[in-house]
Amino acid sequence: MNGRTLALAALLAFAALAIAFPLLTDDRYLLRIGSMIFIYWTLIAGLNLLVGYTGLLSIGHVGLLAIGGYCFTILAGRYGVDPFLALAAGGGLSALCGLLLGLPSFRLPGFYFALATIAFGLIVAELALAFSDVTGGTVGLAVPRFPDPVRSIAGQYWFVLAVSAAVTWLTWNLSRMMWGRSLIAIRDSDVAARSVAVPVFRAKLLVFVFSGAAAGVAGGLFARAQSHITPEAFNFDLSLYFFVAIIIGGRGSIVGPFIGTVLLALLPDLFGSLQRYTAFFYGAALLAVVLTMPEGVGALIRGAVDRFRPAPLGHGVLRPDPAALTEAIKGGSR
Amino acid sequence: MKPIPAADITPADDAAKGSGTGPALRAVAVSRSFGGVRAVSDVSLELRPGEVHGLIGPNGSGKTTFLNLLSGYYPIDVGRILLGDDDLTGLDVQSRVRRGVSRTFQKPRLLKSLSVLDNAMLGGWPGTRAGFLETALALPRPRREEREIRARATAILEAVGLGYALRRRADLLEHAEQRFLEIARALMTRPRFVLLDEPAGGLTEAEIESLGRVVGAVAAAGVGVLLVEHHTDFVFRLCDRVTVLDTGRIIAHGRPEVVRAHADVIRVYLGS
Amino acid sequence: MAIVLLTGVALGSLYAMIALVYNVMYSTSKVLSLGTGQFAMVGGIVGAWFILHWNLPLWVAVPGVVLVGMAFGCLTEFVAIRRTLGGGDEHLWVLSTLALATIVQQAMALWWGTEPQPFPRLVVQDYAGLLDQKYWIPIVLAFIMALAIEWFYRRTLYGKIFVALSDDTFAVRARGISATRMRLASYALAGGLGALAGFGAGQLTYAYFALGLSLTLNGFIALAIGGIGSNVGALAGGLILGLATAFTAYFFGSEFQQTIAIGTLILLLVVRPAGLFGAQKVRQL
Repeated sequence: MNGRTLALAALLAFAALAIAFPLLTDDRYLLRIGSMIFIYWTLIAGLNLLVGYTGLLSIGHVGLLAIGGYCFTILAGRYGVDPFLALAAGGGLSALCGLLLGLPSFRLPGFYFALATIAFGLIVAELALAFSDVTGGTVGLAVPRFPDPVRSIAGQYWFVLAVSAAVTWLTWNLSRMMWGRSLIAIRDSDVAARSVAVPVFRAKLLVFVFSGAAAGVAGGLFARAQSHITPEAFNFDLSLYFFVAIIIGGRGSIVGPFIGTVLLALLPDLFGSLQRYTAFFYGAALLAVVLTMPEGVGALIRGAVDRFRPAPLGHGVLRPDPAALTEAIKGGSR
Repeated sequence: MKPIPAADITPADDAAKGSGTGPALRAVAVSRSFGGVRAVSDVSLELRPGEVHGLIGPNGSGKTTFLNLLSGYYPIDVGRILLGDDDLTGLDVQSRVRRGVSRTFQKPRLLKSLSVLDNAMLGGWPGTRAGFLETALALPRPRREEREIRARATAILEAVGLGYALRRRADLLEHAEQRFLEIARALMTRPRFVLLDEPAGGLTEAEIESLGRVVGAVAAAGVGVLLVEHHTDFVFRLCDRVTVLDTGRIIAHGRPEVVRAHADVIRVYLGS
Repeated sequence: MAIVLLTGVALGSLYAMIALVYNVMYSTSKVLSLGTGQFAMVGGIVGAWFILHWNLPLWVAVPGVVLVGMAFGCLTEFVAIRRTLGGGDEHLWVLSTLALATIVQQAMALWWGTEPQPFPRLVVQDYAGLLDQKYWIPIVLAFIMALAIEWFYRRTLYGKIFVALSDDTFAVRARGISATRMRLASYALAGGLGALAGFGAGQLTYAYFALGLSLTLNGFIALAIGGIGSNVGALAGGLILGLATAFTAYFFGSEFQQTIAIGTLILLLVVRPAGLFGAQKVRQL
């Protein structure tokens, strides 16, 4: 059984477990945790494309979550729009805001941009409080329910699972084809990206729009899961969590950040009454990873796996075949 | 010492092999200064399809700067870059790549976390039509392009001599392998012209020999190669025409045997 | 109205001091630490603790605060900067300083609590309206700090080395000076100054654990407005930001503080990308 079959088997086993989860337990609390993990993952899967693949340090994504959440709640709650439509609208609005958030990335290098995204997150929270007649201010808004069959706890869980699976599938496709390589090029070598005509700025904006849409949809689902939202629900700690999950999981991977998401989500529940330590642990975990294994847990796993595979590392002598080369070049010529 | 203006070159000096068809890539009276210092001064150069054109000169002569101007990494102060009727002067790097002008770098710019094959496949980007959404939905076109690019990259990598390392991570490559990989990637962009930035740097004699065969094969396919090099013997052996720069100006130009014997060239390289 | 003006100038002075601290760290490491604001937060809280809890007199508390700040500065350099510079990944220090800032902030929250505590009076004075010390201490302190830094850079050997380091690290190393040790020293200095700034402005801001992030952001805005690397710019930037914040708070309510701050920054960057006093540098390949 080679590596790929093993990975596929593991994936299928996990999928089966995830789908069967509501059938295996009646505990509402556990189901809620499961839902929250997949809601977070919906956002993080999109953010992963931005942070993990394109290398943009966006630390304020909770702002896009909030925009999606409030949009959904206001449309479906106050204006009676069909919840599924409202969810999509929330995604759309966040996608647009993602575009706006991405515009400064053209001019601002790493640190400045990171700070700008932090500022974005703080501004959204501030505006949510300020425009209290729309958002309900500190009192907040009650979030409407989805119609059957998504109404029940299990139904919500399956719906969230389906949405997060869809987002994962989209990012997976992007990551394994040419777009994935071009994004990694933008991340690791801007010069190399340009040398193969990658439209750097346009690509960054597209990824921002995509991650914005994912965050917006996650926002609507998040709001429903909370059943009542206030600006405090969208605090900076969440943004930190999203970001740290990706860094810990490792850039350039999908499985890694997912593991990071699950681990960090379980942290506050593992500590129960020590909830106030969570942000502290996010910071400590980030520092530990940055200092000891900047490539993240994903790379650590890959490294361990590689050790079990006998890799032939001999360096052959470079023996080009000129005739074949000329043919190969001509074969692809304009 | 009077530089030889390109217009004064007699046809005899200039009979190039140029097996390719199509327009030449021309730099016309190009100049570029950095803070008052003229790095490149009134340089004109013509690169024909299928020719191997050497660009040599001592340290600081402006060779790499000129290559950066030609490929679009630096803007030009004075002069023009023409490809046939197309004026490339104001175009950015990506636009020039799409018009068939690719390059390699003195220090290879590879994606360390990806495999050799992935790195080469990156070069297939200019030929892709599949959009972001299309790819996200795994529609037929992006999947087909992925297959085609993989096949083409494999063929080029094997032909270049890297067939044994396709799955290897790029950061595990030796120096020469990195260089050849970058050349492969540049070839994947379907270039009409390839500008090589000191590709022989740090290579053994055997590797330089292999490099020479690669360059010959590229030219034989109708691609024009600009070989910016320090290794003058290599250049004189391989090139159809040679241009020599000194402190940003052209001091000689023509067939290798003529240039090699040129008084100014000898003086600049060996001192007076 | 005059109170609004004064609040703006006082707040701006705090932002200006943070910007000065940014400059000190930037000069030797080219790093803009996301933990800069935390120095001030720590200074404020520890200072309050010294005075309220231990009843220490001012002449003991102030050096104590500075020492604590210097310790945090050293910690920052050692933990977040030393291992992350000079690697392939130039963004690692953004992450490490962010991580350290979070750790410090949360540790403070756990120890001190999450409620802002009133800050003790530093000088015996009843509430004095326009002459109240809570405005004037930060204002005067900011000017003194800027002058002291300039004097340090021009007149002392260490200061000149710092300046040299920001221009040409190799040349400095070639003279046998340990760039690492100088960087450590500059971070210690930055930490001490930052803590002092937080202590001085404590009556304005209260001792509050979440101050750090807000100061990191606003201090950076002041820095960017004035131009990175310029201490005059830091003062100017702080002043502009402080006034802009105070006036919009007066006319539109204080709910838009962050938004206005960012807006001010964007406005100025559009007009003058390098900041008011920043060096116009040409970016080359």
